[in-house]
Amino acid sequence: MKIFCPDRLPAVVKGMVDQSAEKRSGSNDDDRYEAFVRLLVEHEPRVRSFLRGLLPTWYEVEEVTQEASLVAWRKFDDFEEGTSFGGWLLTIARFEALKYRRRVARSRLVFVDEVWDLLAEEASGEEVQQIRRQHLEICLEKLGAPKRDLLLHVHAHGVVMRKVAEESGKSEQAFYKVIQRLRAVVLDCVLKEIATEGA
Amino acid sequence: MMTNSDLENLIAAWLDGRISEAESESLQQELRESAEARATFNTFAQLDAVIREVADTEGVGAILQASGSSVSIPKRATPPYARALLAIAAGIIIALTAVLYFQPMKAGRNIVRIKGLNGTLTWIGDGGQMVQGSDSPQTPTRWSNVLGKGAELPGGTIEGMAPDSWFELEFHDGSIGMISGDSILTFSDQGQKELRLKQGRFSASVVPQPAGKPMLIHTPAAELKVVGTRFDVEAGPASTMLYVREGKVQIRRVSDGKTVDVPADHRVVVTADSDMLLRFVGPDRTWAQTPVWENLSTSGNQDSIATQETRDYDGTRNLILSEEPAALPAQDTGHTIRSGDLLEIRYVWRSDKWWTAQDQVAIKFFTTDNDLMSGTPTFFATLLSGTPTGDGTYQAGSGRATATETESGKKLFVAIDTQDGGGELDGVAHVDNFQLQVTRFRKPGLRRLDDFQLEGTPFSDPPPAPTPTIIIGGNVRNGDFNGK
Repeated sequence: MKIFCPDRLPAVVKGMVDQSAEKRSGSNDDDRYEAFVRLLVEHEPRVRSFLRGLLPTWYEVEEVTQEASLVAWRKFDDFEEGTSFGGWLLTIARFEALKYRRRVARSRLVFVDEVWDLLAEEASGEEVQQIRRQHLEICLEKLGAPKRDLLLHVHAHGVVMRKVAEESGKSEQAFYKVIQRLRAVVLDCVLKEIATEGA
Repeated sequence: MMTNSDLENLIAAWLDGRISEAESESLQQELRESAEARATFNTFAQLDAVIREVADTEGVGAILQASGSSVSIPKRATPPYARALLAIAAGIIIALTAVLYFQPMKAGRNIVRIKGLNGTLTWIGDGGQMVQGSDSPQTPTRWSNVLGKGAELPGGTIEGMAPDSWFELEFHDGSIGMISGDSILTFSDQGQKELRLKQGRFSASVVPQPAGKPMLIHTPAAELKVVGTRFDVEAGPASTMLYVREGKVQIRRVSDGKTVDVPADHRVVVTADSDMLLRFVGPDRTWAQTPVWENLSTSGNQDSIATQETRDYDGTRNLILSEEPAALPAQDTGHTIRSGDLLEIRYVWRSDKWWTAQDQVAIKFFTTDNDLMSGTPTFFATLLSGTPTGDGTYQAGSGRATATETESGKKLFVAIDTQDGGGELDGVAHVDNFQLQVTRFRKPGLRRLDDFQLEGTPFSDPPPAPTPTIIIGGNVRNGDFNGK
């Protein structure tokens, strides 16, 4: 029996329906579903940011983000309304990242335990200033279209920066410096935006 | 303590995945010792994530001359992904690439709405950007944001990752398309809809398109021009099958440019050496048009579709099996059961849309309280097919059951049902060449030939050994579903 309208679920949580279906019934299902999706959409960027500082590639960030989303969906019945969903999701993400880390711990890109723990602890704090998308968009506009497009392009899904560097006709080192300079300019601008906002 | 500049360079090298072992140790040393360094690291990681978010959700325009900066990029980088595809079908890709890769996109413009989806799906790129690093650690990942029914998307590539995956989209003009199974579809709409079906199955219902701007569909072996119609297309590495249900579709073979107009109720198979002859495909038939078999579902609608010629096993009609309660094919076999009857079935079947990896065909034997199909059924045996291979090919199903005294003397009825395993009652499968045979054995306790011989009684006309009798199969009681 189709109890929980699984075709209405996001693909990311679709696989969890079977396990969850027996626990759920009635119109509350839709409310729970809507609530979960709303919270996930709101807090997922923070999770990705958090994981980006722990995991060395975007592939891993995406995988662990997805895994954390699935776990959160499985455990959503345990989440207490009124408490911080963001903090709860971040805790799950941290745990999932740790599990992932164990599989790739020997990579030079993976931090040793002590550094990992420090970064995870400090990045998950409630007081951490968050860069938001609107901050960035303002600063990207200030960059001008060519630089903006270049910066976005090298950060886009699947783009290999080394190949873009090759095709630019510049040395890799020179190209990386340009990108790093653009990042620094944008970051400076973003921090000013945040400060202005808070003033 | 290192300088800010050195620290930022190491952080950038780590984020870009190009940090050396020695640099990594230096960075970690600094992060271990300095809270300020960790804060800087965290800030750059955040920035990287937010830039990535913007880049992935906006269509990133064609890379322009980076005037004003110290780097000049004469053209947009050709993604390695595109290179791989070029090796497969250079002709197609050149044309498509021109549209999807080099044509400036309107950032973030949504062109389709998700009508429905199921199973694991992978979103490879967006905004028509479709770039992917084959030798990069940034391999394609699942769309980790919410990809839900009703959401709007820009152009991009959607990939079904499992046999039960499907994804239905609706363009803003009302044209609807759906991939199912392990299919990969790229879609774009820059005033003209252009799609690429790299592999798998795509069904569409296309409203009339603007004059001079038909929907274009590229597959590895063919190109389709669609003005407004309903059709199914299946693409493999070297072949494309097109079945047109309504209207007309023009199909062109990539290798030699041979072009055929495919009218309604016809299909054509395009391979490098196929003759591209049109083959008439009989329209779907209802239960009322299907002799012997009846729809025993709760609604019992005899006007719903029972058989069709597409997704065929042997070039003929096959039975459509659905998990939905609206269809339950069954028939009165005309056979009166005797205790000990051995009932053996065999058939071929294949899974189709929404059929999950756990769903099975279930052949059910039953009797009724009044020996009529309309009577109250008592199911006495269920024979399951096993789970699907999921590769789109037909597989064999078989099983056997023995009737007992309880059923003896009653009419035998058989139903071709489904057994749900995935939690959703919407899977579709196809069944063909169903055969049921009965082997009747003598009742236990009756005297055997040997008994007479032992007693010295001649028995010149011994009873034949039990042999199976086919009571459904081929054109016997429409076992091939082709009767009309």
